[in-house]
Amino acid sequence: MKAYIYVAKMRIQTMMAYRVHVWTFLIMQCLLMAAVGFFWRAVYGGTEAAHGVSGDMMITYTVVSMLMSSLYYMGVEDRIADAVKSGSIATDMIKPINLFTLYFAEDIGNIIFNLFFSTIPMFIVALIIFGLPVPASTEHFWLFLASFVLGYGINWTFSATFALLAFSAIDLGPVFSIKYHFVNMLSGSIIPLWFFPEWLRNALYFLPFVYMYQEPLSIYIGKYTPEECLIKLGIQAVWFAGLMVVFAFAQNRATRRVLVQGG
Amino acid sequence: MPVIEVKHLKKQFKSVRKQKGLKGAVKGLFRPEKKIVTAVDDISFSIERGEIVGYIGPNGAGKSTTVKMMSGILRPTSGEILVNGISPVKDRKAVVKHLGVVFGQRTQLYWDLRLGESFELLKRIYDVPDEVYSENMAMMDEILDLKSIVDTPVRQLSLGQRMRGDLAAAMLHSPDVLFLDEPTIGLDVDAKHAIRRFIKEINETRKTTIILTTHDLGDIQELCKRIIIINKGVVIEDGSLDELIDRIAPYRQLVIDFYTEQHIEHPNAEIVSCEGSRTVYRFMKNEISAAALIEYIGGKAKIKDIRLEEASIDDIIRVAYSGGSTE
Ligand SMILES: Nc1ncnc2c1ncn2[C@@H]1O[C@H](COP(=O)(O)OP(=O)(O)O)[C@@H](O)[C@H]1O
Ligand SMILES: [Mg+2]
Repeated sequence: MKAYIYVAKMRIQTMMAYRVHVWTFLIMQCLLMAAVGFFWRAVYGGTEAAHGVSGDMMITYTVVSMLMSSLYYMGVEDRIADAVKSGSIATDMIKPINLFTLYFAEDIGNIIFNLFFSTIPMFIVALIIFGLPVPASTEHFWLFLASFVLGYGINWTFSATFALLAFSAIDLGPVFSIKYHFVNMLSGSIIPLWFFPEWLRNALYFLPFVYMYQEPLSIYIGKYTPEECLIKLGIQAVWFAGLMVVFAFAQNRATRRVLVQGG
Repeated sequence: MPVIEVKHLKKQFKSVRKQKGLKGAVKGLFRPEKKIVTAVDDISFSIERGEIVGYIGPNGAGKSTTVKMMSGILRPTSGEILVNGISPVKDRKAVVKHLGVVFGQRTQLYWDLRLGESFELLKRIYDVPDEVYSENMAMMDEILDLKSIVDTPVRQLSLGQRMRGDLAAAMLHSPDVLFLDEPTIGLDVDAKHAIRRFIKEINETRKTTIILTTHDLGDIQELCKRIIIINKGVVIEDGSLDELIDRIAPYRQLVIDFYTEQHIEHPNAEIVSCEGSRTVYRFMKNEISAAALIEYIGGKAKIKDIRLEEASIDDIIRVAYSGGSTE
């Protein structure tokens, strides 16, 4: 455990060495947030509400979604792909640690870094442009936090399972970035699902993506009653557990086929 | 009980051959042309505690692949490995706990951070008690001069400094087995010297079992009593250096400088070269002694200077690689 905490700490230090990249990323994120926010304000214009959601709720949804995405950091896919391609996976494997716990600790380090260098600055910008993104109630806020953590668990486990591909196939090309955009679209992180056609929306509830963004955000803005929220949390927990089982199984198989490049 | 046992080890890589052009790329997508490369074919050896074994062979012989299988990074296609009685295939973590590995061509140090951070992390990973940690650091600092580099970011270290850091990183948890894959590659004389001194020291004081892969004959000469030569994934020689020399290259060379040009022949000595006043003889140890040869020649002409040369490791290895004998 001490080792994994130290890994997270080292990760934060490493990120500090690359702060310049972070500032440019932050500016882009803030611009995107403002653009999407103003877009919804324009779309809603005079109308009171659509699909039971008002313009203000929609802006809250957008702002919180952007803040969430700055905290939903998952480097695990690129980390493994790079380690396999460069052969540095060898130096990870000579240590008596679990590789995925190591990569998870690195991601946690990154999240802590992002909290200070991305999330909080973005929050301040949002505060200035759109005002405070208030949750539906205090109760909803706590339920959201739980849903947010479960959402991250689902997201990370899904990514890690996907990342296992990198162990066997060497050149995956743009697979991971295609997956990234796919998840972005289908999770409701930019456009909430209630704007999707019904058949697609219904189908998407059978996939894990909506439980990454859409459902935590819906809880935040108060689309569900607290009782409904608890059911949503239950479904999230089931998805998380299911993905963990798949991941554990796939991990065992994939790590056997590790290919290491270079001397 | 041997510390390391390897039996009929084999590793094949399936690789997809890239096909040329767009047509090839499309074809490769649906029906990839698979090629099987046998990196390690059939390797067996066993190593006792405290040995330093030179594991040598030409590029592509399968050395690194063997090391990777022994450290649990790659899974063998077939065969058996036991390190400290444990199979790295079955329990990688248990094996690497007592193992140090250095890959000369890559580093386990964190590139962007000061060297000391990597050490601190390893201390936690292996759960090294504080006293052991500072004791090890002090011992290693003496030879590797770590104090002068611990506060430097790894990316700013020279190759020699980085390698010293990597060696220290591999030894921090006092492993009883150490795999060194080309630890002196690309280093200058001073750095090589420090690293050899370090390897010798830990082997003597801690009885660390060491497998050393190298192309540097100086490394072998100074460190290894035993060498295993492999080529194309099979062991072609395994034995003590002296014994190998006796067997594959049992000759010596005698270089004699006369005062004038001479052509003195002896039935048991072949003249290799004769330039100016210098003549080089080659003879078999078991046919004539050096003393007898010198005495015979000295009786025929006045000798100014002599030098006796053993067959170099270089010769041995060249002969072994080519799979023939000296004759
Ligand atoms: N990941 C891999 N995929 C395909 N072939 C490989 C791979 N790794 C090594 N090889 C091949 O296996 C052989 C042995 O490689 P290696 O063990 O690195 O040799 P050495 O360390 O003795 O120079 C070489 O022919 C090399 O091309
Ligand atoms: Mg090699």
